[in-house]
Amino acid sequence: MSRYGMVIDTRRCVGCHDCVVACKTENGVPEGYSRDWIVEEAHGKFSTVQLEIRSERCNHCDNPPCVSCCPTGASHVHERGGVVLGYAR
Amino acid sequence: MPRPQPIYFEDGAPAVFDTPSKKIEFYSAQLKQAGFDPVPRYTRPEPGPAGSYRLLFGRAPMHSFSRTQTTHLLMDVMSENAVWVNATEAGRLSLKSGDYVRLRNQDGQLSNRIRVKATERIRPDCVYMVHGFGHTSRELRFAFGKGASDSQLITRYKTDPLMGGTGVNVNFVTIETEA
Repeated sequence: MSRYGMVIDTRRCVGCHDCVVACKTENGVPEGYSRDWIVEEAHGKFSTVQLEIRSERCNHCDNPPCVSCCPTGASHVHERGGVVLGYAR
Repeated sequence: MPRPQPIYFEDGAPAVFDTPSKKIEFYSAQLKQAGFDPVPRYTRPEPGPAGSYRLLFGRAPMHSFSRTQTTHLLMDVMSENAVWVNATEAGRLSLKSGDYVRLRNQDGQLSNRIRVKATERIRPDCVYMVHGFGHTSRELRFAFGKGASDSQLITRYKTDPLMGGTGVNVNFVTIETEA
């Protein structure tokens, strides 16, 4: 069975949040919530600062804690792989 | 109407410029004749009033100028702008990230309230904010009162004596704490 993963080249990320908006639109995520997010971390002192921008999201763990703790079963592992949310559950 | 000159140079084509030598001129006899330095020379910008910070502004990748602050999806990822203050300066002023302040410029203009972002990503003598926030129309219900406007604080500009371009990074602000 295919095992999909997401590869994000953080060297090219400028933190535009477009992936966040795209995910919210595609998955109908309510306002005020998001399933992925951007982390911006500056290291060092001015003027030798290094900036790290990370686009973070679900890692689709083998043993996802969000599935085992979900009281309704909405958070579940899809039959074709991947951790997903089901509104019907 | 056809362009007298193509916008881009074709790959490998010789580049011809509208100068006496038809080349890029680092030393320009024309400029010298007009009374300017024939070689561009760095001029140190004039400092602002003591205790003030040069106001810089720029853009955030999720908003387009001042026209997307009523877009809920974009306001969800950036709902207001912040004024970047050098972390050491912020400590000296007893300010921390998230505090609300107001900025007052050299001509007395007072901004809307705006949150501080204490960061090492800016030099100590400047502050920075994203353009496009601080809308003043109540009709823009979703954008009204969110963040501050850099344009409001830009009351002066300077003209480049050589090519006539205008620059507005010549305004200075002081930081006033907001109760």
